[in-house]
Amino acid sequence: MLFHGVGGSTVLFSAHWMRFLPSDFRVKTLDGVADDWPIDYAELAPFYDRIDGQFGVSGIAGDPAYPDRPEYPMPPLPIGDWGKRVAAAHAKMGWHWWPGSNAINSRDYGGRRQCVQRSTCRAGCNEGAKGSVDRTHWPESERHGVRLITDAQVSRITLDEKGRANGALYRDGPGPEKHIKADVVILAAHAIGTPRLLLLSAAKGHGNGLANRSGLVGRRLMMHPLSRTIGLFEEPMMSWQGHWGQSLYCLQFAETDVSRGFVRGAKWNLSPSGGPLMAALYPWPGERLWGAAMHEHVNAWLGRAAIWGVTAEDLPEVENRVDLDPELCDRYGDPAPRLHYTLSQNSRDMLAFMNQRVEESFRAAGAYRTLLRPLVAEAGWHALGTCRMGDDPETSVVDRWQRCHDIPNLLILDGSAFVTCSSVNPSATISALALRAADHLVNHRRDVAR
Amino acid sequence: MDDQPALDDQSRAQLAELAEVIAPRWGDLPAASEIALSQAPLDRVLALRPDLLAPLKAVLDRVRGRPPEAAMEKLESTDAAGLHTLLTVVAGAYYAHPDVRAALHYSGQQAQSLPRDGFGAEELVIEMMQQPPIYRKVD
Repeated sequence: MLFHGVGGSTVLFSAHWMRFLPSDFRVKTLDGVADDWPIDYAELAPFYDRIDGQFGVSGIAGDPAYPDRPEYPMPPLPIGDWGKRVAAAHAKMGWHWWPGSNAINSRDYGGRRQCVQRSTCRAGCNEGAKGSVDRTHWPESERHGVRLITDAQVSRITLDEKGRANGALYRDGPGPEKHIKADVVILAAHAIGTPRLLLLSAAKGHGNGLANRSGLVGRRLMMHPLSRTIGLFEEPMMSWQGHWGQSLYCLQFAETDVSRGFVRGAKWNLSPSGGPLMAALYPWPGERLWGAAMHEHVNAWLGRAAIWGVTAEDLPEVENRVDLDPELCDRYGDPAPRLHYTLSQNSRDMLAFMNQRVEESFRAAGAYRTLLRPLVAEAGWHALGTCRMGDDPETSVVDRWQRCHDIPNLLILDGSAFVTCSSVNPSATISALALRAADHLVNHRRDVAR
Repeated sequence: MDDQPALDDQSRAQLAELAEVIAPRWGDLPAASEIALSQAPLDRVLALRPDLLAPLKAVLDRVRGRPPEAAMEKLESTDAAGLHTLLTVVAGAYYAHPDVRAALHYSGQQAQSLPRDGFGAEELVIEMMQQPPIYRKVD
C-alpha cells in the first residue's frame, strides 16, 4: 500500500505477517510457468527468523502448511468468535486454518504496547502496537546516527563519470533541487516508485532508464488480485472489535492442483468487520444503500459479520508494467507513473474457484448469508515485481543480493525485486530480503569500490 | 483561521432533506431530523474530514432543486462517486451520534484488554498441528 510518510507502506498495512511457501521460489520448476527465484526458502529462513524479532510478530509455530520454524516472539492474538466458528467448520471439513500471524503486539514488546483490539489497524495504530517501521526501525536507526530527511522527494539517481551511483537529486520544499552524495544508493520506493525513479534517471549510457539493460525495469507488475466475502451470522459476535490484522488464515488452496483448472493458488485471511459506517457504505450487491435498506444492512452486519479476503497469486507478465505518463506530472513537473495491467485468465479462474470455496467455508461456519465482491476494484495494493531479481543480467534487473546488475552500488530493497509474488502478503519477505541484502552489503563493503 | 460555516443555510437545508431520505426513523433508530443531523453532527464530520467539504458542495449543487428522493435516484444512476460522498457524510454523522449508538447498543470501537486465557481455539490448533504437512516439497 502506497503511503508517503515515515514508515511508508507499513503505517497503513494490515500487518499480516506471512512467509512465502517453499514452492513460491520454484514456480517454473514445479508448475512450468513464470520463473524460479535465484534463492530458495531455506536460504531466506534465517532472515525470516531475525526479522520476526525486529518487527515483533505474534503467532504460533507448528502450522502444517509450512516447514518447521522457531516459535514466534509473541503468542497469537485472539481469533474472535468469528474465528472460532470458521476454525471449527474447517476442522470438520478437513480444511486448513491457522491462527493469524501478525506484526501486532500481543504482549508489550520492543518498547511498544500490546494491541487493544480497536480494529483500526489500517488507519495507523494509535496504540503503537503494530509493527510499522516508523516505530520498529527509524527511532533506533536515528539513535545510531542515521539522518532522516522528511518531506523530501527524490527526482533522479545520479551517476559519476564511471557510471556508478553517487547520490540523488531531491527537493524538500520550495527552492532548487538539492544533491545528496552517497557511496551506496538504496532504493526502496515501492514497486511503482522505484521503477519510476529508474526511468526518470535516464542518463548517458542508460538512455532507457538506469539499470535497464534487460528492458525489464517497470515490467512484470503483479498486483495480488483480491476478492472479499462477507459472512453474516445470526449470533452477536461483537465483530467491530479485534485486530485487523488477520484473525486466522487458510492455505488449503495455496498450492497448485491442476485439476482446478489453474496453476498456483490463493491465501485466505479472516478479519472482523468494523463498525456501522462500514456496513452502511459497503456495496451490497443489487441493493439500495439508503433509507430502510441502510438500517437493515447495519442491523444485519454490526457485530454479526466476518470477512474472508482472498489474495490470488498473480503471475508475472511483461505487458503488465509501470512506465512514465506522457502527460500527467507531479508537483515538480516530473512525469507521474502510469500503470498498464490486465488481469490474467489464470487469476480470474483462480478467484472464481476460491470464491465458491469461501462460500462453502462461511456456510459451514453457520453464516446465513454471504456478500461476495468477486474482484475488489480498489485493491491491488501489493504491487510487486517491477525490477526482478535474477542471476542473468539480460533477463533481470538486480542480482541475488539485490544489487543492480548494471550499477552494483545501487540496490533495490523493496517488492520490486520479487520474481514471483506468492499468494501471501509480501511484507515479511520484503523485510527478510532487505535484511539479507543489508547483511551482505555490510560483509562485502570492501567490494563496493568508490 | 476560516470562521465561515462549512455550509451555508441553503445547503444545510438541502442536506437535511436528503438526510431524512437516507436515514429515516426505523424502529428505535431516530430519523436524521430527530438528531438535527445537518447541524452539529454534520459539522463534526466535516471537522474530522475537511477533504469531504468540496465534493459534498459539488454533489449538492448537482442535485439542487430536485425532490430528495429524485435526487438520490439521480445520484444512484449517474454519479456513484457523488452518492458515495453524500452517504459517507450523512451516515458518518448519523452513526457517530450518541442517540443512534445507544439505539444500536453499539459502544464504538473501544480499547480492550486482551484475554489471558489464550487465543480461543487451542484444541483445534493441536488437532491441526497433528496433520501431515500440506506444503509442496521442492527438493
